[in-house]
Amino acid sequence: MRDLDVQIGEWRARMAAGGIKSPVVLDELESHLREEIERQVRAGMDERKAFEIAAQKIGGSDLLKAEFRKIQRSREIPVGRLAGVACCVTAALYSLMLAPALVTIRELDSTQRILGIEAVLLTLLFLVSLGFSYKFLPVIRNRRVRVASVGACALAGLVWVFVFSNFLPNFIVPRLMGATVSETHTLAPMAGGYESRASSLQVRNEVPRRILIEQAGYHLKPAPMSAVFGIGISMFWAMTLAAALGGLAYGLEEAAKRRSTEHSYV
Amino acid sequence: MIPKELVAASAEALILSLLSKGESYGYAIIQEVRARSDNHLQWTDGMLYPVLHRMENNGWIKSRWVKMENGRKRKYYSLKEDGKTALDEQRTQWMKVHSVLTQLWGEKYA
Repeated sequence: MRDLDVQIGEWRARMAAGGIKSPVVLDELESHLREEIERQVRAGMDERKAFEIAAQKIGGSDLLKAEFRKIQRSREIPVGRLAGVACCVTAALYSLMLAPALVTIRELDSTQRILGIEAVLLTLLFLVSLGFSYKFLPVIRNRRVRVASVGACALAGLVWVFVFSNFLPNFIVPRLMGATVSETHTLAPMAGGYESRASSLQVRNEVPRRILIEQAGYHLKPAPMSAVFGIGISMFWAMTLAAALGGLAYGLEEAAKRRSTEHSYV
Repeated sequence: MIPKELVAASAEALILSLLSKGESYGYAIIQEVRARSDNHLQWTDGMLYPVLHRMENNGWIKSRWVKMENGRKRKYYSLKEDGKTALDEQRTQWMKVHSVLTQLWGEKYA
């Protein structure tokens, strides 16, 4: 018995050296090996001989390693799925966070309101579809093509989310409206000067600051509110597109994982 | 003896079908397939495990270690919901192949 344990220990070391590193896999293979030895011994075979036959039947580490590596490869890339889900969830959360504005902002006309609500609902639909979209998406068998497609969708989605949730409201919109904002700033002292004169005319409280500035000879464009609303609605649709891209990245990888019929040689 | 390509192609369907009858472990699965096929369906023993692990990865089956009375451990596999769906799909496909072949052979040998 001690001999057998030593032999099995050596066999495990050989398998590990051959590339089967996982102790869990080795435990399982060892359990199988011992079952087979036991069966052979019960049938009257010498223990040493039984071990040799059992080890031979399990097969060498080369073949096993190649097969296990296939699984590891499929385990290695949940990146696309994670990025897809992240993209979809971020887009949906961002959409939901802004959604109350669609109801509370009175100046929105009904078309803008409906367009916005449609976008939010569609985004949520893409989020929910994470659970089943893989059933309808094609299985891309070529691994490189699949990784490239999933990666492109996930990356495009994430960039899109970033651009429309961060870059657009924090950088592009202020830039577009920059003229108005900066003019107000630079004109403020002059307007103040004018205001003091205006106050002497006792019109200070009745006349808005803007009119005073304009009276001073400077023309300020009114804030283009319709443009801001337009950008706002486009942000909702941008989130819908991001959710769709994220959902696609997740779905393609999930379809390949769940419906793959790639066979291993047994 | 059935060629290894065909053995490989039918491995998932065989394992899913066996596990649909109740949980089992690698060694017993191999023995049962061998016995049911009158020794015609033979796997290289070790190669069953990558298939089992892939199926577990797919979410079709789950596993648990069970300690036996003699102190040894066995890893038991059982079917999950997704595995039942996969089994249904594979059964439909195999029945299709089976029906086409029997139709054709029926014509030839009638």
